[in-house]
Amino acid sequence: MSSVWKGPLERIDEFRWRIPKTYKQGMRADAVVVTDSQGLEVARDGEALEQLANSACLPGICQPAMAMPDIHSGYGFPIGGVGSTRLEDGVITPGGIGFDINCGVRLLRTNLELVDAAPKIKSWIDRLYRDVPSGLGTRGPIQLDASEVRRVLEHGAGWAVRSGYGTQADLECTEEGGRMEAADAAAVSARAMERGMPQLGTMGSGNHFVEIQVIEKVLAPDVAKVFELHQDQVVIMIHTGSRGLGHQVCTDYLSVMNAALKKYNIDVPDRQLACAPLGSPEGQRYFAAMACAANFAWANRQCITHWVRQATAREFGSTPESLGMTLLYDVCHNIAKIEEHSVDGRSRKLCVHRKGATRAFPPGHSDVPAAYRRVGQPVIVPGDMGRNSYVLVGTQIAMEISFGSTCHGAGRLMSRNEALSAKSPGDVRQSLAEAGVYARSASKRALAEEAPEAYKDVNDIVDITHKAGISMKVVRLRPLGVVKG
Amino acid sequence: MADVKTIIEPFDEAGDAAFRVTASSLPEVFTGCGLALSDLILPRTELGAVPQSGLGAPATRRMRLAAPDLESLLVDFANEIIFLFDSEAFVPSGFEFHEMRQPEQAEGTGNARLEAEVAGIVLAEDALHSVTDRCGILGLVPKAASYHMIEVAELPDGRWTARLVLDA
Repeated sequence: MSSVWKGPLERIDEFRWRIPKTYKQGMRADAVVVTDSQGLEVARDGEALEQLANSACLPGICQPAMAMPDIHSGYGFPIGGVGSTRLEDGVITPGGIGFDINCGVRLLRTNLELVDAAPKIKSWIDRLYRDVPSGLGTRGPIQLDASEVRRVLEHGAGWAVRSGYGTQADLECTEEGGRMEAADAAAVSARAMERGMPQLGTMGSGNHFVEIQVIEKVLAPDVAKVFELHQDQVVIMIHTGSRGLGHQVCTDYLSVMNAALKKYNIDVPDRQLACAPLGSPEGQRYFAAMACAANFAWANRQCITHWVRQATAREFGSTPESLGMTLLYDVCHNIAKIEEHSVDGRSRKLCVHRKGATRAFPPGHSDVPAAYRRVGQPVIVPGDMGRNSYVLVGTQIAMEISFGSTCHGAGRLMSRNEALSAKSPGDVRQSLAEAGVYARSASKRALAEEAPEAYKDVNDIVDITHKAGISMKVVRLRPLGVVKG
Repeated sequence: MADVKTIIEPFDEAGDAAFRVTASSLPEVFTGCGLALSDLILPRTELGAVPQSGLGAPATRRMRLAAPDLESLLVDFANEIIFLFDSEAFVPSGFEFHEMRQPEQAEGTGNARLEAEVAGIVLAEDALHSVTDRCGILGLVPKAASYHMIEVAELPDGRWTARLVLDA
């Protein structure tokens, strides 16, 4: 079903390419993709650039609609898309956020060195596999009643910390402090709550994981020092989102937004871009529900952090505190937020949709935790399970050209079917073992579908973001072991 | 159950799961889509052996859905199957449609409607969390049905076809 982009692409500079708003009827702004000439050839394949142009058709879109270097085909927005809409005449769309609301990544430090961890990787991963629930099926480790789940939805990671699943310091190192204030549990359906209640503290399937990594190379020593990261240090990356609850919120509100299109006389080129004015009852209600799902995701990652800390402490016969298991940062990469950005020389509040894109705020920004404010916001970019991941740092250039945004990962190269045909799960496990990565998975297909070959090389993506200046490399990470959902 | 005339063709789209189903009637197209979806979670060849191995028990569920158009009805139908798995580990193995109306056939609301009895298996916890092997028995568990490339249409020869893309 694949197509190749044949529309216009105007070169702005070495790393930016423009689809002018004259490309097709309905575009209200230009669309700009941040990539290099090689990345552009990859982006041309499939529907991603058409989807980027479609995102520029949203009412109230602020110039330009953006895509990050890991752009690839999604539903509605491309993955890697950033669309900022004006509060006064703009819309909000679930298609600009994605099904897995507040899918995100966090990185835990340890004071373990590679030499300490290497002999224990297999038993450590086996323990994480047993102790961190994948959540496939009906019951997770935390049983909530309806009133408690409402508290989770409205208080996010703060609920988890108050319930004993973390520390105040964790909240300070989580985007938004782990809670969006706009959350209103009354905007979330009973069905979404039913899906969410048993899944809190579970990883889920697909590309979600807990991965033990080592810092292979420090690339910005001054910033790494502020982030308390050093060569050969062992760290743990956690990637998951809002589970069935977030998917149900997106599903529920796609129906609401499809009805709203007619009500507000809005024309969009793709039903997955169904939307409503930000100020409308539908728009406000979706924003409140999305914030609930975002809070659920933060609580989820916080609870998983707790299981990871407990399992690691047991493995090493120690305590999380003695092992230095502090949180570097937690970023979300599927979300919409109200942020202040400079537009045409004046400061304006915008609704910034990031779908497969990460916030990358610069040094001095008030939303960056005090401990990091001097250098900028940590940006965590996972790669595939056989190759590198990165910690980057936000920049002023990102504020100026990409609404304070950068890439979120590698991006798929192969479909799941292609990946399944290319290698069996056993073959993938074997080749990972040969590369020094021990892998376990709760799903029969996940290992093959998530094989390194199925993804672009994150090194290429991060190189572009670094050279384009929308985030800068701090440390490069190498996987040692992984638990896939 | 879908008859031999039902054609299910998986295709690659956006890295997730997608398929086109062609059949002689609208209920058969919906049946084909439902079975294609549940086959992703657990292929019917394996699902059939689950009760004997003590990893699940046969069950039936009822669906009653209404939507403004057939495309939305198909999305809702797929999402209902996903919800049944997510909330109670129910995997469908067959569909019997008692009602299937297009919007123009519906009285009053103008909505497309369906009512169906769904046969299947409720999986036991052990089936979901196998730790004896390095992997569990489950395949791909879709998380939502999308409107991306959605299509439900009657073909000139009177057969019906549908295209569905699932977020996984």
